Amino acid sequence: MIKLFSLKQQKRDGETVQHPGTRQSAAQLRIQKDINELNLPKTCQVDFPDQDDLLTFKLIISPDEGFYRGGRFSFSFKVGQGYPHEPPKVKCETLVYHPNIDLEGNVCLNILREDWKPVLTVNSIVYGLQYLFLEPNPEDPLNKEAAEVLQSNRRLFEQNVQKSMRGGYIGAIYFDRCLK
Amino acid sequence: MADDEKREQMEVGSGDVDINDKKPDKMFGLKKWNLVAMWSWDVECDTCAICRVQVMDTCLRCQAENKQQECVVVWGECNHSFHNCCMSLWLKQNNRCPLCQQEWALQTTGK
Ligand SMILES: [Zn+2]
Ligand SMILES: [Zn+2]
Ligand SMILES: [Zn+2]
Repeated sequence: MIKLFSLKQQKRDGETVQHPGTRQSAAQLRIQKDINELNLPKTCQVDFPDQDDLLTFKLIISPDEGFYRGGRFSFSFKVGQGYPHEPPKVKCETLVYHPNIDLEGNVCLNILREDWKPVLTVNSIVYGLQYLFLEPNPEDPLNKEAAEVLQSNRRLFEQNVQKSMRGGYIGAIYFDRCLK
Repeated sequence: MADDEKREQMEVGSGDVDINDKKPDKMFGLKKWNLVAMWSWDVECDTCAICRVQVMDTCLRCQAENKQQECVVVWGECNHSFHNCCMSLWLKQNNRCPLCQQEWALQTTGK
């Protein structure tokens, strides 16, 4: 995968010399560096629906430990022209019972918001998201109900997570099955 | 005899340490996600950590827009260096060095 992209970059560099009109934007050049240097943990995989558009891609996380072990969660990344001065827009596309992810897929991760810095990379976000699944944080939650359960009764929280990943209702919300 | 005993104890002792070492190893794996620290060591001063191009080359933005002349390098008091183009954009949001969090104070500008 990574090799493929470096080949692609070489090809593109060649093209740029021949047709200066098709030059890429700073955001595209920077994301290309990020992708070439991606060092994914074995639980994560990146998928480009359109190989010519590096600004839109998906990240699949399949945690192999913690509450969410065995699940499979998909995130969409949209990288704007302001990158790296603005963080990518990241949404969780899998309905998940998690204190830091709401039912619309908004993700509460500091480096995607107030703590973003242009020296961070796609890799930093991947590690941050992976960490959310290992250590869900009940403080400053987006899903308050899940956070309360996690804080008051870890055993019940674990059961709820299992139930949601197998496919089922938690309260009034139906969660689709997302086990691998 | 006494010596032999001692040696044996020591060997057992070091064996124990090995076993204990394995647990923290896994627990500390999580720390990897703290990439802020990683970058400050890896990049040193040669590469602009914002656009990730060497500071002696023109920054990504200038490469994309094919400008060459005004792309200078700035060094902070903290000894971190960036392209002025990249750093001035960041300073609009935050007056700290994005690598070390110290308040940004310009040391030199150069090429
Ligand atoms: Zn730069
Ligand atoms: Zn520049
Ligand atoms: Zn610094």
